[in-house]
Amino acid sequence: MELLDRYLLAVRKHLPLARQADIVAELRANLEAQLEEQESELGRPLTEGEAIDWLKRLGSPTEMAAKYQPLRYLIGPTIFPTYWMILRLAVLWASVAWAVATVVRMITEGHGPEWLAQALWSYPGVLAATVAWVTGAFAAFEYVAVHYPNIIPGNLTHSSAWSPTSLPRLEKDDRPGKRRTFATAVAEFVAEFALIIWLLLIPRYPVVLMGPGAIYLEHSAIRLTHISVEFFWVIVVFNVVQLAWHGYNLLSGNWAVKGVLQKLAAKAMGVVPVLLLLTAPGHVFLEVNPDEAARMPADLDLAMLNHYLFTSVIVLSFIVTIQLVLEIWKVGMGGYRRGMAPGR
Amino acid sequence: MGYSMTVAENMFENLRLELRRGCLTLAVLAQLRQEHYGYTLRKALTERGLAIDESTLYPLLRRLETQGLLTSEWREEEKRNKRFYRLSADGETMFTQLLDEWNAINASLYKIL
Repeated sequence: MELLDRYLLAVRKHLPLARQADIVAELRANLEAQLEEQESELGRPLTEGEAIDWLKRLGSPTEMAAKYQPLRYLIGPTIFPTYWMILRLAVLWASVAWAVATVVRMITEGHGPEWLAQALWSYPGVLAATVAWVTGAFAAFEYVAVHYPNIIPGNLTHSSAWSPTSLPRLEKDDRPGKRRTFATAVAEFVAEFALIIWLLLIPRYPVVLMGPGAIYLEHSAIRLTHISVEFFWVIVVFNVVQLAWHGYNLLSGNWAVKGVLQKLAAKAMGVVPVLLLLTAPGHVFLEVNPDEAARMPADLDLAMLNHYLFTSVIVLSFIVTIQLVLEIWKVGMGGYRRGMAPGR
Repeated sequence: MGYSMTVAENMFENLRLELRRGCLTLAVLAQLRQEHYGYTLRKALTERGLAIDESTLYPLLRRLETQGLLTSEWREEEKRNKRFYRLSADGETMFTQLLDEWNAINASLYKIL
């Protein structure tokens, strides 16, 4: 029964990873036996309405899964999944806000790497405060719900209002990723091809990148250093590899879902150009154009400008590296979950 | 009025659950002197007048097994893999002690009530 499969899938998501497969397999055996007996008594399969009533009697997936967890005294099993979701969101947003505020202060107040190192020490404090506030709020909510049920409506702490029809759909394809149509895949391939043509035109015709600004740049007092040229060609190579890979997917009929290996490779290749910028000699990206040195504005601090650019590159490297690590972690966890799935 | 009813109902539910909790463990241990898997155990308890929710019974079996009071094994029956539980040696000892305790409490309660 599809509804039972969806129920078990939803329960599974709230169980401890190491015991998911075992608990779900046992639960499936018990519930299927119960279902069989009900259907044999009726002499027909359950109608959708009867199946919904039956699953509602079992309790929501979060409640069912919570009973398998160790007792949590501060926050009850009913609201624990909500608490956990809010906590993760709060930690994420607090981290983003802290990172943005730190970078903005670094740039506007002109701080150096030493200041950044010191600022990093404040990050654990931000995390601890976020966790404490969210936990405190949920613990207070739990206390009031248990001791003063007239204040908090029952449907906020008991999920009797849940409906099996709201359970997530089963995944038809167990490979992670959004499915694409053939037309979308072809359109992406054409767009990538056009992007490469455009990139290859830039060195000879800078106007395609800068517009009229290309003429101004040619006679500007500052110019890009050689590392920028290397960066450009790495970007070109990156796009050519992507195009070749996607072309192969189209030819082999494998366009619907991007493979895990491809996703990882794309993320890994995305790190290379950024890390290349870190190796810029003397951390210099802009230099004086000898032919136009006389036009150099007196108040332009080129060293400070390069310093800011280098700081941005450090932040960018940090972000792309974290993204790569997260992707590897997601792929690893996905593989582990599929490996532990019952029936395998 | 509505307020006092809600509080009273809530209090009764909490006390009822507290009263049942220990009894359920004793009933499950007693029933598992014979081997059962989750569903047949639940049926057997229900037939004897002790209905128990799936979401209470199945996790309870896991906990009792973790405590060493039950043993379990996966086995195929009627073309389906099922996890069968029965009382372990430690479980039998514990059951005997709990049964003595239950009888003593029961006898005392009869005198008190």
